[in-house]
Amino acid sequence: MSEFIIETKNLTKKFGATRVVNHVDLKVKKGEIYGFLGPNGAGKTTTIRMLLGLARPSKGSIHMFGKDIRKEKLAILRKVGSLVEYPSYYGHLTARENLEAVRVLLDVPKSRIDEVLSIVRLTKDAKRPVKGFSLGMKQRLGIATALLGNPELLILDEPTNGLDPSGILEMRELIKSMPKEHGITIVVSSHLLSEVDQMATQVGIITKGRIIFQDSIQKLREQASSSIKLTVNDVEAAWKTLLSNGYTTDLVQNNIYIDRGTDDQVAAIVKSLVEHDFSIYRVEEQKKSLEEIFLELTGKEGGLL
Amino acid sequence: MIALFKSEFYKLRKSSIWLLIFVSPLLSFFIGLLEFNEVPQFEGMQWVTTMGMMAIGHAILFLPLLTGVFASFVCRYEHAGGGWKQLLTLPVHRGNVYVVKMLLVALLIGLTQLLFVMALLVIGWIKGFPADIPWNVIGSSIAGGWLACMPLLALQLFVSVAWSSFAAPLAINVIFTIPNMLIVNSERFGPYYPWAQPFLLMMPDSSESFGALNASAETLFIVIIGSFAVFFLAGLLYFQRKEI
Repeated sequence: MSEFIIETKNLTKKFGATRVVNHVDLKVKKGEIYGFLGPNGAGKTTTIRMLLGLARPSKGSIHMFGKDIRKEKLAILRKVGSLVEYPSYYGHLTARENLEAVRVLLDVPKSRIDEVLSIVRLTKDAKRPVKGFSLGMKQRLGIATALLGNPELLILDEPTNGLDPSGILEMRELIKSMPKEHGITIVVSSHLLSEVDQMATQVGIITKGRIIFQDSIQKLREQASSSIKLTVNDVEAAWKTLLSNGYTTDLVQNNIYIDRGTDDQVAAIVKSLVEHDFSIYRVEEQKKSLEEIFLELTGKEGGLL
Repeated sequence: MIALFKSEFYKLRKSSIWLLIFVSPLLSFFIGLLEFNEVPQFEGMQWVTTMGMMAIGHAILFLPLLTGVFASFVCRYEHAGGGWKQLLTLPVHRGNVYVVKMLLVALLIGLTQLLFVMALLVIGWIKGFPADIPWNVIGSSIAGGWLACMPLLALQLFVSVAWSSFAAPLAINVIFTIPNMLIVNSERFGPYYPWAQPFLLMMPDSSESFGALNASAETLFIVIIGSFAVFFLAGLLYFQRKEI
């Protein structure tokens, strides 16, 4: 048994000649909120559809709960709740009837319907036909359906798509509470870094079908290396003086930058500048934001933010 | 499979489409009621002749159309709200889903046929037909009509599953149903035309005989079972491999 709830190896999906998903090795541990991040069209949804058995991989393997999806698909699906892209619903049924149609298949007690309705706060609207629901309510119904079978793994594809800010906040709180309260592992995909940043514990970044980063969110933040920015009176001369004294710094837009300098180095540079009679106006630390790292990783063309 | 049937039945029951099973038997009822076929040589055969009259509209037009409508409809609510996605990520076999959908439509057609018989019985009671009801003829006609809808059902379900549009499979169905009136007259093509088969099997032998009605029962059964198997397996295979 592997320690991973989801483990894919060389997962590849070809549409014609293009590889929409290209040798993806996903690793999701139990109890994590795994943020699956990537620009639009990077292969997130295709990967998720393969995880759920909706699409067939062109190559590679998928193991979930230590089981091969090709051999034990139903046993896996029984433990998985999902919401793929847009919420699925039967418009002619009410919220409760929608859940009932699914409940029969999952063989869970009727009381579970009331439980999930109250989790997503739809109890009041349970008797209304779903075709009259707002997108946010449909999305919540989708979550309720996903939770109906007491899943051990929840796969949510862009769950905040089309929600208003309060809906997004609500959804985020809901997702964050799941692992704590119910011990559920969650995979949540998004094209918004800020969203993943606020709820995920693990991050996988995919672009053009390839995984380019997969680790904890802390590791991603650590890559946000800092630099020291110096603002002085005569930049040009100061930079040259530093260089002749053996300190390599960057001169960018009338500021001097020290990359990854230790405290001692910074102190020495400042001291040297003072000794050469330069006026130092500011010494600032500059941190790269996660957004900048993300753009660096995915290449600028993603158009993410 | 039983759970799946329950779930599908639940979804269907809550929609209003099943009300359509009343349409054709009701129309046939009026046709049968208004029909006064006082030909002396048919004396004592009123049950069969009346049923023959009623079956013309019912089997040429309504049975093929209804089969298409029902088949489209059990797929429509899946296509419309992304239901396939949801249904197929639940622990169900795709093959079972397909078979259950088909059973459901077969059930609806079956109910239509039963209502048709009831319409006939009511007419006989009103008009005072002979007391010895020819159950053999009626039974085989009703069952035959139902059976002959199966290849068509398999074909229409295939098309409905493949196309997310509700109208397209229906349009196809209408286009192929309209020429029925001509094709049932053709001895050569009639037996092989899925849309004509319900009529060919539903018409009682004795009442009238023309065109494709002369085809032997064996030919019809072989054609029906054969084409059903082909359409059903093609649809099933397609559905199992379909990427949602």
